[in-house]
Amino acid sequence: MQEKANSTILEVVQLTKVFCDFWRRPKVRAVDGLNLSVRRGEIFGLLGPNGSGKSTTIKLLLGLLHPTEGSIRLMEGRPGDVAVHRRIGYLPEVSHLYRYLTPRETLLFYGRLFDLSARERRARTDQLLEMTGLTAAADRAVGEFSKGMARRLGLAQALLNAPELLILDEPTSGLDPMGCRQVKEMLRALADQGTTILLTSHLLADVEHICDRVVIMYNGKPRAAGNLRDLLATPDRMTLDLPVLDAATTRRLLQTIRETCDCEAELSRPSMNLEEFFVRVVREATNGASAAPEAATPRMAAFLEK
Amino acid sequence: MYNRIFGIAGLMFRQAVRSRFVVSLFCLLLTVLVGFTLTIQGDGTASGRLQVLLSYAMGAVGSVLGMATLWLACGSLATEIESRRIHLVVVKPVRVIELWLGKWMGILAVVLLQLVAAGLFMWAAARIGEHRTVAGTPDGIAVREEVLVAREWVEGRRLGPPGDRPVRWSLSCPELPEGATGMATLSYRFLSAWRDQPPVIGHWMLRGEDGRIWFESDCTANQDGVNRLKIPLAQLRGGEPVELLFEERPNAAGQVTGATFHPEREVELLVPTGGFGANLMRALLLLFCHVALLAALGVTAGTLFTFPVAVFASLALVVATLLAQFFVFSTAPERVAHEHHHGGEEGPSWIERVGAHASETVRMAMAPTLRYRVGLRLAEGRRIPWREVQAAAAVLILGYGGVLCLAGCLVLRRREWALPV
Ligand SMILES: Nc1ncnc2c1ncn2[C@@H]1O[C@H](COP(=O)(O)OP(=O)(O)OP(=O)(O)O)[C@@H](O)[C@H]1O
Ligand SMILES: [Mg+2]
Repeated sequence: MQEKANSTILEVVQLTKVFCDFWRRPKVRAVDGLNLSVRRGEIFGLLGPNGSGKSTTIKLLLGLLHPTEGSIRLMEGRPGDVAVHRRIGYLPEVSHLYRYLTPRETLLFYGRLFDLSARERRARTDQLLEMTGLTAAADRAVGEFSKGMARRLGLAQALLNAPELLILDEPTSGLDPMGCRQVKEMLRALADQGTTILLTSHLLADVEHICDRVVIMYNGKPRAAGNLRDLLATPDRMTLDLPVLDAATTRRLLQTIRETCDCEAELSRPSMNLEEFFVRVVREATNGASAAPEAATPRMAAFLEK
Repeated sequence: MYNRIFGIAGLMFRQAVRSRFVVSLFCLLLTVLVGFTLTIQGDGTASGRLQVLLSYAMGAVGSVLGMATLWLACGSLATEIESRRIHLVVVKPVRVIELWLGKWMGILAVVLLQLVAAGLFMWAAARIGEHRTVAGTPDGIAVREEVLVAREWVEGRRLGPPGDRPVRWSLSCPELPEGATGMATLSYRFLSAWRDQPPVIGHWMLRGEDGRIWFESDCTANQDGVNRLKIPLAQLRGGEPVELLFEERPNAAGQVTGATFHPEREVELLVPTGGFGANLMRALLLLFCHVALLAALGVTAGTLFTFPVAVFASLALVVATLLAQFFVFSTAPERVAHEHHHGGEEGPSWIERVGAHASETVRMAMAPTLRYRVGLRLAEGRRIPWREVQAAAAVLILGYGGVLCLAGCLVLRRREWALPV
């Protein structure tokens, strides 16, 4: 178990992708000499500004694109292997779903592709619809869904096979703050149960709290990589967290600090960030009225619990 | 495997239904069929009307369904690749052959549904046509014995030199069904350039190998059009060779017209061996095999090209297949070489040679696809054998369809799904 937990699930060596035009002349070097190794059970973040090659990397991992150079080893197989695809879940950057289907039919269809039995398909579909808050909209056509609803459905289909490796391209894009928080909590819970998660984002606030390790890409090249806590630690500063004191005590305290350690000390009052505030307002609003389906507190689908 | 194939097929079918493709096609077919039923007059007789109706209906159903299917098939994979919906499918444990077969079978389900509907309509139209005539009247007999039956037929092979009297043919009587009681038909035509020629008076005789006479009868025949002589089945012996003799006799004025037989299908013996319903079904199955091939062509074209290009390319191939049958006369390689030989100093240019070989290649490669057409057989009450349906399924679906499937899978395997086409 311990051994398994530390083994690598994905190993990328010197991965390069050059997009060529019709005449095979190189056009864009979207990924350039990328090395990655993702361990089992961790949440790995692929960060970078627009056009830095995050989505391209993910498509290479899934076999949707073929690398120009470099190699990818994915769960003892290669991208595109049927056996590998059985064990991964993928949420694309934009959820490309069948407009004519309802969410329920969509999940049942993808469930068939995973060769799930009819009973299993139906059970998982119901659980995932509830988990993503789509039960109320389960029989409407996906074509009329809002962006966030489509995103939730995309997420549900990525979890259908209880994947070992979950590859998410900007999982929180299009989601409201409640949804973002739910997704983050869900990802953390999945990772705690042993699912490996590879996600991309440029919304740093989203990934800050959940990623174990990150790579920051720019122009197709990795620019910084490592453990998120180490990367973000500022070793020469610290904060002191206290209840609000009266003005005189505060002044005395600052004075003492300055005198004892001969350094600058500053006072500031922490404020809630907007996300926390938004979540609180919506929670209060849903307490009275019947909860909006999309805002209902999610419950992890039973089949995902190990 | 089957789960995935049927899943994809079901999705294809559902999309065709929800995008209103199925209902539109159904309405189109219905309009065409109802239109034909209401407007076709034929030669004024009920049997003539029914014949024209059946042959037009088969042709129209075939071409409308063929075009619509080709269109649907071209879009099946091409639009999914363009819209990137395919990404979520190919990252599931799906093999490309499952993808191809799933799409193809979904389309076939749509085709089958439409064919069943069209078949029921044609069957009903035929039965109504039958009920409108009175059994026993010439028109009633024609409808029942010439149109709404399935008849085995053999052509006579002429014996003796031209001008030999009596005119003789040899033919082998088709196998008769157990305890058959109906009438066989001997159908014959004369070569005549003018209308209103005097009728030909003559005498027909069927003689077995042992010299015994099976049947004989005098006749009065028209010089234009098809003449029919009814022979009770009880007087024939199925599966045995027979000699057929015709001798013209002088008419009332003591004259002999000396009419000669039409070189195509001089005489034919038609023996009823089955009903119209089963024959219609076999005709529709033949049609189904062709449409299934078009579907395969479309799906594979959709793996290579964008939707409009796929439609264009596969239509071009269909048209080239049909045209190559005619072009062969002007550009067949040996003919080009022949003209070179006799035409003086200038040989055929390389363009002519390449063109000739290309059209010959297309013709040779595609000729088997044109071998299993229904043609006029259904309307003329001729039997379409089960063996032909099986052969068509083997050649068109397994053979050509298999090659197309393989080609499509090869393309799909090598494809980078996330690249624009
Ligand atoms: N099919 C393609 N053909 C040519 N260039 C492409 C193609 N796909 C992506 N690119 C280029 O590759 C580079 C990286 O694109 P990619 O989509 O991976 O960026 P990204 O990091 O996901 O950006 P974003 O944050 O906007 O999603 C971009 O310059 C893009 O234009
Ligand atoms: Mg991206």
